[in-house]
Amino acid sequence: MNARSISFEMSMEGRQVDEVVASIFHTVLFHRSSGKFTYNNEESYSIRTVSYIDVDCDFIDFTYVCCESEALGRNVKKEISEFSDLLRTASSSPPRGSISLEFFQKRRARWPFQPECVPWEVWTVCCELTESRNEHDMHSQHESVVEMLQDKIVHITEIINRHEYVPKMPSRSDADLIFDTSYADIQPYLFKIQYNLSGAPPTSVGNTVRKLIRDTLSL
Amino acid sequence: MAPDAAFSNISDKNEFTKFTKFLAYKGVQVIVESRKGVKIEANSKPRTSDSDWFNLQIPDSPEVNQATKNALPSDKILETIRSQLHVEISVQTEDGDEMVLELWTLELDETQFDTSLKAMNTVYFRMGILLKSVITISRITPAYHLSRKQRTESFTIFYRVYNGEPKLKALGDSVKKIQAGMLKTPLGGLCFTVSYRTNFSISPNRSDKSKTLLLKSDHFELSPKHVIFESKKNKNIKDKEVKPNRPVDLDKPLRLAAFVDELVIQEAIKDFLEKIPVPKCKARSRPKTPVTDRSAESKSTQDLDLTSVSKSPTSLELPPKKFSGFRGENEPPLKLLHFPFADNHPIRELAEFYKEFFNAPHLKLVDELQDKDNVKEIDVANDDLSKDLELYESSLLEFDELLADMCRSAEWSGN
Repeated sequence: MNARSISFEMSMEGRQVDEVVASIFHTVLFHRSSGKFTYNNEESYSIRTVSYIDVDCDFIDFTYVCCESEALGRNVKKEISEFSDLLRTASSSPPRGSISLEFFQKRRARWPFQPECVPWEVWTVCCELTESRNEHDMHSQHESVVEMLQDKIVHITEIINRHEYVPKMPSRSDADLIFDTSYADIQPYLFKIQYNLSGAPPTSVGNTVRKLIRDTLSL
Repeated sequence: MAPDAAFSNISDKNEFTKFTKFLAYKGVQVIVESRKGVKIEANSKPRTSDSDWFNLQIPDSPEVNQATKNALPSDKILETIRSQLHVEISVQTEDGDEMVLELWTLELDETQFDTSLKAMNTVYFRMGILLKSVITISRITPAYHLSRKQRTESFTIFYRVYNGEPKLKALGDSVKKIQAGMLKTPLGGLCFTVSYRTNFSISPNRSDKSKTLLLKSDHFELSPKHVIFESKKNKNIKDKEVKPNRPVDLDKPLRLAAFVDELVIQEAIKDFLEKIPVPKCKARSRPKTPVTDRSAESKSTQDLDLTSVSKSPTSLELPPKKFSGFRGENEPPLKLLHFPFADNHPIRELAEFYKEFFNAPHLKLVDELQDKDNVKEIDVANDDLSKDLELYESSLLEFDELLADMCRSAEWSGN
């Protein structure tokens, strides 16, 4: 299955990386998370409420909305920080890197194989770091980052409201194959954040797993 | 056009109508919530029941719901949304300048239908996603940043809900439009769009010509009230007590406070003067014209009328008319989003009082008074009252002197 792939190319200052990526990823996650499911039986369930909060950025004049979930926020922040640190200490000039938010579903596999992870939507932010030569330069770059972000946010809502492919609502026994049920207050679709500095999009979980399986079978 | 038999059964259509109704209600709520100027923080909202509409924790302000209800009649939900439902966001400065910032529109576009979407739980789920998009988009338009500053700056954000033709002209020449997603349903595409102005320079106050209406209350300069205030002030200074809430200084010209919706006040005064037999004003009242006949174009004549009314001593406390608004008077009034004053400030009390006064139920007595049979009696009563008032007015100096005298003697005895 081909995953829907959306890629954003943006240039920004080093200190803005965390917030730019977080704005995009949290906007996507807000749309791709539901309230916790409570199954009454195998097929019927009720969904709890999702709360949301505003996040004001420090290094860009921007506010984004994200799900109110401390654990989700912490996990996303950790991945983005690691990518940001790596990018900002990169030796290439200008430093480039990309980070992806990949939604996937699991497919059960026969023992002894692990379930196969099949990505269905991948959001990639390709970042290029810029340096401002003077204050005026910094100001205009700041404005362009904000404008770019606004465009991306509109684009995200446009794509998500097309309702092209999202996994079907699962029965109780399959819920873990579609949703990340580990959070107490929220239930996002299964996702993974990956990054690299080569400039090429990160290898997807699905491809890696498939490659592993192929390698195993060819033995 | 969406096909007639879009839904296979009537209960699905009813359910769709109900979902659409709540989509509209919740949509207006999230838009207004985002313009309150309050940042939504963790644990800032009380945890609600698990049965929230669209599984989203959206506020349920009764005032906002009422505004939506007025623009969206329950028996014509789909028809009204087909002809568009709008939320207008505007800003008003302390000086009375006003500007429409953006216009949110919910529409059911019949050409964008999708008959493959049959399952009502999917429609419901997707409406939730559409609302999430509205929440997200509401943070990126300029009005959001402006509304976040309203607590520290001297302006207030207002909203208004209406249906029908959008008043896009109020946004100026330079307008940007964003569509916050479209949900295609068997009956058409449901979409929220926001059109917002990109030029924020405030044009000069349109009411320059009506500045004569800024009242200076010289009338009270010699009044006993003034003397009492002055003597109290002196006492305060003597006792070195600094009271936070000083009495109103009547020497200063009367101004519209930041929260005052002058159109509402103007309308209320008009209604008041028409319905209640106030002496003098009644004698000057014009033939009654239905509210719907009055439009924004007739502002100049109304301004003149108000000037003459303001000469009457009974109407000196009327809020001055500072500028002629952009809105027609037959449109629903703007609702105040936020009082830019501390909770315990006396102005807040005044605002609350005004609101209660304005929202008070209609008095039966007023209707009776309006009956033609009673008109003569009222006029007679008015004439009597007018004579009395004239008598009292002519004795004003005497009263003033008497009261000043009493105040002086009270101060002497106090010392």
